[in-house]
Amino acid sequence: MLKIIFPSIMLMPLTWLSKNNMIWINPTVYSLLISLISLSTLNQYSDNSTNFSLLFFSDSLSAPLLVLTTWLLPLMLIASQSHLSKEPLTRKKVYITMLILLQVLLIMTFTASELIMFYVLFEATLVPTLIIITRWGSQAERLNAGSYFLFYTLSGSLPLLVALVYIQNTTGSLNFLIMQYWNQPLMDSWSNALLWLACMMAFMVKMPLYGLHLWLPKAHVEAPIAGSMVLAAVLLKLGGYGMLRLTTMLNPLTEYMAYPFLMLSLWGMIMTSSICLRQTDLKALIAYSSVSHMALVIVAILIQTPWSYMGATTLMVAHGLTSSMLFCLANTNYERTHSRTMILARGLQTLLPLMAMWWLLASLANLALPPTINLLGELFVVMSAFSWSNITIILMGANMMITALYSLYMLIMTQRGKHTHHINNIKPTYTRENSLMALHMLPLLMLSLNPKIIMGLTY
Amino acid sequence: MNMFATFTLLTLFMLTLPILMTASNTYNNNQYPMYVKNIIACSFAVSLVPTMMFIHSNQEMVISNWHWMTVHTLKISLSFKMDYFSMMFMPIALFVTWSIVEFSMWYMHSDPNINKFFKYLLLFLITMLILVTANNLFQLFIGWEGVGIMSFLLIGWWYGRTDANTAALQAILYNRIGDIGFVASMAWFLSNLNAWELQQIFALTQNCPTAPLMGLLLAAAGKSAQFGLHPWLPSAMEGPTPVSALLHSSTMVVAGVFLLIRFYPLMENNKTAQTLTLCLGAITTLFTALCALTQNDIKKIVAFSTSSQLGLMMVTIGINQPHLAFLHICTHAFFKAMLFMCSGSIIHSLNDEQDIRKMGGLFKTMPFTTTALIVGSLALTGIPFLTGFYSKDMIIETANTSYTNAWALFITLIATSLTAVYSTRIIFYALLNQPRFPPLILINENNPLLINSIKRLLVGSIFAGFLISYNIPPMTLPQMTMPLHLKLTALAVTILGFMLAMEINTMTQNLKHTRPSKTFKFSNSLGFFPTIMHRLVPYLSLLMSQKSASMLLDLLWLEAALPKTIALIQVKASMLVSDQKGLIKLYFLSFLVTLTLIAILFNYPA
Amino acid sequence: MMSLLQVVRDHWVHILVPMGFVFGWYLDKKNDEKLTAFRNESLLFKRELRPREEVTWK
Repeated sequence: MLKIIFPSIMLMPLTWLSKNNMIWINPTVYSLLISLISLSTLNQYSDNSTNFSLLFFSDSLSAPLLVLTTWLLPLMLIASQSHLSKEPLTRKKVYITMLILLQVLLIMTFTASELIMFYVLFEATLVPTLIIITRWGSQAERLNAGSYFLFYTLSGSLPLLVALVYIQNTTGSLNFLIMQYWNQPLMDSWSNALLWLACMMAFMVKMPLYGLHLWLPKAHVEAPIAGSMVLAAVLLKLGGYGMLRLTTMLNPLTEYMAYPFLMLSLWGMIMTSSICLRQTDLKALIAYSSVSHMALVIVAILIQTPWSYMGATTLMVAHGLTSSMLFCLANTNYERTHSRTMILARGLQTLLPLMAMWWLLASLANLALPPTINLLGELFVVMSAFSWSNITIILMGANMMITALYSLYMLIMTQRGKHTHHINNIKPTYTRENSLMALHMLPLLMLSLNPKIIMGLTY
Repeated sequence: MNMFATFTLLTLFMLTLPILMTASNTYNNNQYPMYVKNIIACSFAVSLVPTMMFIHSNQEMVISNWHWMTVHTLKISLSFKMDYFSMMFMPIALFVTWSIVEFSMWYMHSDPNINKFFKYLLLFLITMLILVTANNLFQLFIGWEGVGIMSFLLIGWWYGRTDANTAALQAILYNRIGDIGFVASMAWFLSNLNAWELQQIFALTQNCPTAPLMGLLLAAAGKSAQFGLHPWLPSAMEGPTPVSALLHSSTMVVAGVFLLIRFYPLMENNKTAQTLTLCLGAITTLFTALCALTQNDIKKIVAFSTSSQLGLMMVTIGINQPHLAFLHICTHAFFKAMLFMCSGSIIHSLNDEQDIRKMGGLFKTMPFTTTALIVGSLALTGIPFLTGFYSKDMIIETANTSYTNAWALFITLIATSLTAVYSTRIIFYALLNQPRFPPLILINENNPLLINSIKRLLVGSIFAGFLISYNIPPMTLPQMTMPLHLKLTALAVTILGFMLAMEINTMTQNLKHTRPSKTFKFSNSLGFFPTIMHRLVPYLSLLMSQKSASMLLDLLWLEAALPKTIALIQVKASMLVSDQKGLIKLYFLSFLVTLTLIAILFNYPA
Repeated sequence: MMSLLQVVRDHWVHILVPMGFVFGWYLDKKNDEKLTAFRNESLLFKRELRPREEVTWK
């Protein structure tokens, strides 16, 4: 694993020592190469995890998320170029360094084998994210968003620390690999219920669970493009990853502790989707759609069947790529119209036909058109929810319908209709933007050919 | 092993060629439409081979090509079913598409994006064929969603128009409601049978419970625009006419009925599902026929007649005659596509005029279109020995002689006679009497692209029914004997319809101006359905999402209750416990006092 | 000669990331060997290397 982490760390001196006109291209190219190295982790030749060292390991759950993380860094770099073009050189370098630092931390988080190390790194990812949001966001509300982001996540995850200390005391180890064989069934008691809550809450806030999601739209809307991308694509998945790892040791308590959260997620999924229908703000719409998709992941993880785990993992990767792409598209609009309001950017298909195709593909992926992996994930979640309780199909079906509606509403609002006069002299699309979208779309399409590599532990 | 599967796959793969050619230079010049048309024609020719083989040897086949993945105990692979339904439908779909594509070369010739339009049509055709040939539910779902999305793109072809966009979104909305049903039955089959392959499903269910069938019925009702989910079909007429001809008459809209036909082994043992299908179909066929009576937009009339025919197909499935319903799908494709193309020809010639009140007298200026339109209408009404007769007459006869719900049968018969009424209305208004269109329009229908495409379907509308029903192996035993009056019922109601229509049309000659009657209003405003469902329901749900989801829960409860309250408490508490009030002078004064005191105290001599 | 120096001065940064990779790869290998040695102490898991296999721990 160090062979991925060390080069990633070396990207930082690379950025600072590169010549001034190379500071974008150098990290981009090298991070792309690093993501190629990380592809090798997808080859899971044994049934168990592939152990790399005492500190790091990877298995079929962490490998797809790891690859997603490394894949996203070059995309973030490509996406932020125009956003930062007016900044002085040092700030650009600091910005790039923050992104790289975030990537290093995320790689270590996803591959950590000690739970306490996972926890520390989980918290550490907040720092660069917070700096990115509060320093490079575009409006004054970014400070508010930053504090929401920080306090929600922190107050959610502090109980986890206490719980970890307790688990260390009782079991004597916090190693993921040992814990699978070591754990004892949790008896039904109030203190164990509290332990369950402490373990799950940190990740539910991060996911986010409906009710604790307020930080997310704010952070997404205020963050600069790279911040939104990494938040939607990877940081939310930290929550899902943590839940998938920890639920194995919380049995059999999950069976009835899950009910309120399942209900909340099922309800919240509909609520957040219907909020999307009324959004005028493009980025807020995409953010709320993330909440709604993540609710599906929460449901899947809490149901705890092999199918639902597969669905959760697949959906996480699929949503990571799709929502990141949607944010990039929103950013291309923002850079041209300088507004996030959808109605100000309507009729863009006439002016930017190729971008309209990317919009179409991204919206179709977001509404889970077969045979994309988005559909696969969603379908697996729906199937396992159906076999858990038949009536969930009503809520799931309604959510499918509303998802399709707001995705196409977004498409129609921004691309269709007559274009307005103030966008008559906008810039054409750059090759940079088109290749950015292609780099998002290609993995999505290729993965639908062979989805089993991102299906996680239970495939 | 013969070449049965090879030719079927060749048919499918040939169609992907023009899609791949998008990257090449062919896509950039004006030969692309011609290329697409030729490929479809070749594909039709190739598809005839397996169909002939099927007719000859009655051989059915399932092939499983590419193993996609195995999820625990469920194997999902690319598999094609080549049975009666797919083998008969493929050449028909290709034939109809061939004609429509040729027609759109004429209709869309001035469109700047004509190449893209052809690509979309082709993509639609491919997804439709995937749907028809799929042997597992996942693959079927790919085709199912694919035709939905292509219909969204094609209805919204003229994307600058608000109406087109609304209609496209409406189509997706209603289709998605149907998809809920589809996904629900997929979930049911998975959790109860652990199978998505059709033959496994049929083998594992002897007496199918009603639940999955309800899902399938909902799916079919969404896709085939059955009552309750019907309004998208007339709205879809906002799309270009070739799109209406291809998607909304002959292929996509029958996908729902096709789904139920595919699942007939489950359906035939479940009386509840059959009765529901029957009643749904009967209501649809009557309601939409009523709506068609007073429309003035020529495409809307044809669209409603499509909807009515779809209802009739549902009725046929409801009386447990899936093969008859399939026969009706096949015959219907010919004349309905042709009716759309005729109306497209009229619309295009009259400078995009769709109102039948502004037509009239076209039989002089457009003799060929007139001929085709009349033949198509007669075939639609089921006049003996035209194409429609072979399926429609059989359906009515079978319904008459079955022990079915008399109410449903009765309203189906009414709808059948109304078919004749609205068909006559189109002929009367558009073709007969004096011209009512502006006199300066240059009408010319002598374009080979137009003539050939319509001619091909015209021949099809006359002979196809005979050819198909003569050649196919009999799947259900027809009723051999029946009283004369039952035998003649179908014909009698149709003739009744014609007479009624002629009476009413003669009345229009000496019409008095009165206020429109309630019945007229009901029919003309589509049974007030859009007014209620398209105003109230979206309004309420959007209001709910605004007021309850966004404002009450998100902004009020979740935001004000948690973060804001905490912040407020912190502020209040810190204000309460701190003595700091910003009175700098006073603080410094207190320093002064202290310092003075210290100075005095410490300097005090001991 | 000067131009070579110039090239080196301009592009020496490109060595950084490959260096990081080589270093990380070396540490990984060391670690594998250490764990292999550790494993070979155990009677249960001790085994001979198969052909074309460098470490038993992977």
